[in-house]
Amino acid sequence: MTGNLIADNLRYLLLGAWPEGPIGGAALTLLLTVGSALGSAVLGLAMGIVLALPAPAWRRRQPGLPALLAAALLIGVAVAGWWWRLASTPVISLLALIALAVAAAAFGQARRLLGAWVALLRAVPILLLMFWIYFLLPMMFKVDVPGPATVVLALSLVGGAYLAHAVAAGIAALPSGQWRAASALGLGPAEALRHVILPQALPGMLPSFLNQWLSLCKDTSLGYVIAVSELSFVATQVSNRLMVHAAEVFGFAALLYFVLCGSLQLAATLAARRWAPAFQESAR
Amino acid sequence: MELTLLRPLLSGLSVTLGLTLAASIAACLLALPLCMARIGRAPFASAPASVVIAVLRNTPLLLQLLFWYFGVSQWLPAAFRRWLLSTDDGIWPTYETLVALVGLAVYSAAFIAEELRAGLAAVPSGQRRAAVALGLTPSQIWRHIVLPQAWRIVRQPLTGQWMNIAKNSSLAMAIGVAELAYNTRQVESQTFRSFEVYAWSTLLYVLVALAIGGYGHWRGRHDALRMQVR
Repeated sequence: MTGNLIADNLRYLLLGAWPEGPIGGAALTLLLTVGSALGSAVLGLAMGIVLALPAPAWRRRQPGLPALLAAALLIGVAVAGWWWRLASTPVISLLALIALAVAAAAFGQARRLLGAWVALLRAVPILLLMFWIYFLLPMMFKVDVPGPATVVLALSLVGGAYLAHAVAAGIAALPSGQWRAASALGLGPAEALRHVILPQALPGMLPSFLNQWLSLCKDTSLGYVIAVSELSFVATQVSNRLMVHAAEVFGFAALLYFVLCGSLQLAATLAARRWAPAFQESAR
Repeated sequence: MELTLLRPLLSGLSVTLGLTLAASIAACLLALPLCMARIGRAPFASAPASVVIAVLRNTPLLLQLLFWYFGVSQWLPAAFRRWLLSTDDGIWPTYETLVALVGLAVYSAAFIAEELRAGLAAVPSGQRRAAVALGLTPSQIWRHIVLPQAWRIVRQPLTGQWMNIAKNSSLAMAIGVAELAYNTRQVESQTFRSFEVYAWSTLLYVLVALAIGGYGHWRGRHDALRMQVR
C-alpha cells in the first residue's frame, strides 16, 4: 500500500514537473546543494585567507588617503540624501554602510570589519537572510531574485562565513616558520600562499568543507518557505494531495535526504581518516 | 508609530526565547540517555541509538517538523488530538508550539549527544585507570571522576548548540508558530515597511546570539582559568 503510494508519486518527488515544467524535487535539492557548495567554498576560501593573512600585510601606519576621501564623499552623499530626502532610507543606509567599510579599509581595519561581517552572518538565522534577499532586494534595487537563486545566494553567504573560520584555522594551524621560510626564499605573500601554505593546509580542511556542505544540503529545505519546489516543498504537495499519508511521504523524503547527506558524512569521515595523519605530520 | 511595528516583533521574540529555553533543556535531558545508549556496551541499545542519531543528524529539521506536525499527529488518538487542539487559550502553548518544541528538542538532542560523546572521550583514560587503582566502583568512577570532567569540557561547546537552537527555532514558522521570523513576515506584509521590519528583527536575533555567545565566551575563559589553577 505504502509502496504503491510512493511509486505513484516517485517521479514527481525525484524530478518535480520536469520535463514539462521546471525541474524540482530531489533533483532540484541536489542542484541547490551543488550550487551553494561551490559558492560557499569560493567565499569561504577568500574570506578565510584574508582573516588568516599574517598581520604585517594589514598593518598600516598612515590611513590610505584616497580611500579616506572616498569614504568622506560617500558619507557626505548619504547625509545630504537623508537631509533633503533625495533617496529612500534603505539606499541611504546602504550608502552609509559602504562608506563605513571603505573608511575601515582606509585605517587598515578591513580584517576586523570582515570578522564582524562573518560573525553577523553566523548569528542570523538563514531564514531571515533569505527574507532579506527574496523580499527586500527587489524593493530596494528593482531586481527580481528568483527563489532558487535566493536559496543558493543565502546558503553560499552563510556557508562561506562558517568555512571562513575553518580555512583561517587551517592556515593558522601551520607553523609560522612556513611563512618565514617562504619569505626567506624570496616568495611574496601571494606566492607563499599558493605554493607553500595552501597545499599543506587544504587537505586538513576537507572534512570541515564536507561537513559544511552536509548542513547546506539540509538547509536547502528552507526553500520551502519561499515556495521553491525542492524536495521538502514537493513532499508537502504530495502529502496534501494524498491527505492521510503524511508520515509515509515525509518518511520517504527523509530517506532521500539521508542518502544524500549520509554519503557526504561518510566522505567526511573517510577524508578525516585519510588526511588527518598526513596533515599532522606536515604541521610538525 | 514605532510601537505598532515593535510590539509584534517583541512578542515574537518572547516566543522565540521561550521555545529556545524549553527546547535547550529538553534536548539536554534527551541527549544524556541517548549518548549513554550510544557509547554503552549493550549492542541492543547502542545500535538503535547510533541509527537514531544518524537519521536525526542527516535529515533537515524542517522536514522533521513537517513529519511531527502532519505525520505523527495523524497517529495520535482522535480524543487526545482534539484535547491538544482545544488548549489554545493564550496561556498554555498552542499545539503548533508543542510540536515545534518536540521537533526542535529531538533534533538538537542528536547533536548534543555527539557533543557529550566527544566530551567523554576527551577525559584522559589514565583518569579512569587511576580511579580503578584507588578502588572506586564503576558507578563512583562515573559520578566523581569522569562525568565532572566531561561536563567541564562540554559546557562551552554546548552554548554553540544553544545558539543553533535559537536560530533553528525560526523554522517553527513553517508550521505556524508565531515566533520572531513569523511575526516579521506578518508585520512586513501589513505595513510594507520592509527595511525597518527586517532590520529590527535582524537586530533582535543578533542580540540573542550575542547574549548566548557572550555567555559561552565567559564560560570558556572561566573554565580555562580553573583548569590552569589545578
